[in-house]
Amino acid sequence: MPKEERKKWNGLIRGIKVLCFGGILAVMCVIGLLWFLRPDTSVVEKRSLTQFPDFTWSSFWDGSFFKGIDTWYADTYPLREGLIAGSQAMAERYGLRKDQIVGETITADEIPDDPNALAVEPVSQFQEEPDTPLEDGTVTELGELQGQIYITNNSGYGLYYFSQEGADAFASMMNQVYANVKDQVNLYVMICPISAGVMLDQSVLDDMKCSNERDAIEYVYGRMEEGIHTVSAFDRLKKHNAEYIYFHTDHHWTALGAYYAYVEFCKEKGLAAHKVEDYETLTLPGFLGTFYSSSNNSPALRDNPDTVIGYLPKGTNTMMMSDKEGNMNQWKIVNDVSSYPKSELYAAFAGGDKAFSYAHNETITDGSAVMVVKDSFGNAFIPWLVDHYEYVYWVDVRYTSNTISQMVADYGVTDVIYQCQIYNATTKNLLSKYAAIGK
Amino acid sequence: MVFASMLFVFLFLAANLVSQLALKRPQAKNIAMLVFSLVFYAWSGPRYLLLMMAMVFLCWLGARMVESTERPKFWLVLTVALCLGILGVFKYTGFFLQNIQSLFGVPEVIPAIALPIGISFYTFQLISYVVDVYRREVPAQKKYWVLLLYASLFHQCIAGPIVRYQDIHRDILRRRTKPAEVSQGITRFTVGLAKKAILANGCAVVADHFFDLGAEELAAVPAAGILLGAFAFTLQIYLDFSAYSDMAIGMGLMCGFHYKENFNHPYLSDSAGEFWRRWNISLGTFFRDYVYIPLGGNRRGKGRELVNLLIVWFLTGLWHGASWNFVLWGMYWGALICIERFLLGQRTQAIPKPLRQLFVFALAVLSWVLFKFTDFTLLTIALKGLFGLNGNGFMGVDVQLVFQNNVFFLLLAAIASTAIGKTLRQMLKNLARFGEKGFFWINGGWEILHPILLLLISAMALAGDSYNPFLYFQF
Repeated sequence: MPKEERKKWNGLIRGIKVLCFGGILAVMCVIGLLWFLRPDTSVVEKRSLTQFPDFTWSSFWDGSFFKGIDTWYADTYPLREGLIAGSQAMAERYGLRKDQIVGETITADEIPDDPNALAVEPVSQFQEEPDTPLEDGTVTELGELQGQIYITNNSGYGLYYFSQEGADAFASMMNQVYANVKDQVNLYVMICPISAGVMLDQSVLDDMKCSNERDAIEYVYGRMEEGIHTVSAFDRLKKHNAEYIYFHTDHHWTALGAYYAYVEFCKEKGLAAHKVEDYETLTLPGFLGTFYSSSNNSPALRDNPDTVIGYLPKGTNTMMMSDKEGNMNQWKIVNDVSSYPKSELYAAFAGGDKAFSYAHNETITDGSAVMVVKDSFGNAFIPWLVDHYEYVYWVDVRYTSNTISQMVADYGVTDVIYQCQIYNATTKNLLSKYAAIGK
Repeated sequence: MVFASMLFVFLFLAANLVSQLALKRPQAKNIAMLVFSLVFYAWSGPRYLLLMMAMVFLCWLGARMVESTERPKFWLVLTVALCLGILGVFKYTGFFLQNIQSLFGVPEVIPAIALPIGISFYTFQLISYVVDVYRREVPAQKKYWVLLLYASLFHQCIAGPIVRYQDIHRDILRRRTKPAEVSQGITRFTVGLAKKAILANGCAVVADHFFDLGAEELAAVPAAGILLGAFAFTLQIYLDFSAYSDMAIGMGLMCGFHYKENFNHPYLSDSAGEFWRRWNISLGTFFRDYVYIPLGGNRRGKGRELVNLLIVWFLTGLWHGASWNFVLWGMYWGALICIERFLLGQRTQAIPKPLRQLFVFALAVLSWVLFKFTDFTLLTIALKGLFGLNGNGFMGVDVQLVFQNNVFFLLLAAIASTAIGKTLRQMLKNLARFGEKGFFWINGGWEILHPILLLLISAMALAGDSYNPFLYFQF
């Protein structure tokens, strides 16, 4: 091409380039200024987006006000969800992502062989903390998700790492609760394993330096007073691990997984468990739970969404639950929440995480009453109890202000089940809250 | 405010470019640029802006006195000493008192003095200005606000490169934006933005997976994990630093400023000396011109040269952060350069160049481990881990998965740290110029499309990536 012609075309190319660059900057700038298009919440990430910061002289002076504007601008940018989707699609091409680990590196303590042979390290006495005000009752399922996630074959698995300090503190706290309530109620403790320990081969767990969940649960139980009834569901779950007992995209067990724990509870309580086949079911397809959001919407999980299957209690499917103001509202124990976002389908069980709920099964008239002190694993477990008690009361450990003594006095509760997933039984996260209820 | 943020790119920069385009008179452009720069700096906290303005005033006055009085040396020494004193107070007081405390047990309380962002960069720029005035290499600036513009110019104020007044004072006074340079600037800026938002931040995720841990967790990482972390951090730190320089140079070109190159593919170096001629060039030349040569350089015998080199490398280390690990890191490079200069000489030339390059790269990886850990307990664990001395074996599933999950990305980041991209681009340009007509259009298409693509994927990465470390707070 002649020099002059090349020069002319080069000028044109430069002009187009400058116009394109300037045009994109201008368009993105204008979009950013359209404040009314800015979202408040992210459905994908299950969180409220950053608010515009409040102005104070101190925050202005130290720069935190401006930092807040920076975060607000990026967090609520109108095209953000689309840009994030693009970013995630790009990140999926960073390598071979059939198997992944999501989350920070954790190291586990060794689990002592004999819980009662700790001459050097005595059982630490649980120190009750002063009462703390109730937290906001907003559903924060993600807050319960702890540890790393291992993703393989389009399924996520929660990995477990033992902490002896946490385990000892939990057992000590339960012993304290037992001392408080043993004359009033039968106390049951059910520590629920998370998925990796049940579903993955031991060699895989060893490679990832995970702790053995069964040993950890037995260790905690071994540190508890003999009068506490312990429910060991691990072996039964492991035996049934070819079934759909844990979600692929979420850290919870399925209702079927909870069923096997219920069978173990019945065994401990001396009840005859009902057959799972005898129940009517409710099916909610398309569930993409906490593993999905925590893994930055892993396509591997997106391609394998869960189906939430609920088993409708025979006696009644009606419950009452408290709202944020403490008012009681009627709800369904296993509820069709298909209109909810796909990330919220676990809310089908027991009304989700509410401070206080109960069900009255009028087909039973013996006055029996059980109280379940639970985290979100308990939601899938509650429906199975409804056909064994006239009254089932349940409180979410994170949000309730109820105590066992009060429940005995007000509702004649005779059985209390402390149910928690394994991390909550081997860390101090919710210890003071569990203890406060056990008065 | 940082360059790699949505607010900066899509609001601040857009508005700044419009102002520079709309205003015609140089003075109006400069006033607008000054306002933008002061807002940019104040974004990290207006209190620090006052300090910077005060230091600029000090150097403005000092340089005027150097130029106009009969005791220029006195005013030079006084001004430089005050500048270094202020830098010392804000950057090194805590470090100094901590060492005193660990030796003598006093003082009981160490005051927490916040480090003003960019203070190391603009202090060195101002010192270079006063010294250059003293050396009669540049006239003293009569207008305070013009010197303030030089020191606060947001392109380079908080993350470098260290731009000398004599290199840009003509651009400040009468700059012209040329279409060809605007086009180059767009490409350079978008390349830098993508390097930071995608590559450096992505490498940081891998590096921190293995390094951002407590002592117990770090000790449990197998040797391959420490190696992978060190490799990723090595890429991260180059891509991050050089990205900021790219963005500064690119934004400068879009507005008519010409900043010198600050990085030249340092990981291709075949000696430690060459590495430092390619790495953070503006800092290296600052220490050469304002410390090493004034101390006598290599003109006063081998012994003095050795001492001068060690002083320079001690200061280089200390400049990077108020912690002994940075001093160790500086002395490590100083020792390597001394060994090359005094012991090895030309003898290494017998080794094939790729092997020399590989060896220098390995030395650089080790140096970044020293750089990464300010805590000596963690540093010791990491160094032991690097050589497999923590008893964890070589490989673990976690390491294998992180590597597997990021293998293409790390390869791309490694390629981006070499000159391959630049060479391919030059080949295409040559083909467009001398080859078939088709190549001209391919080159033209690429010229238009690739900055646009880089801008868009950078926006995606900035929106979706909450992990956006800023390495320059310590400087």
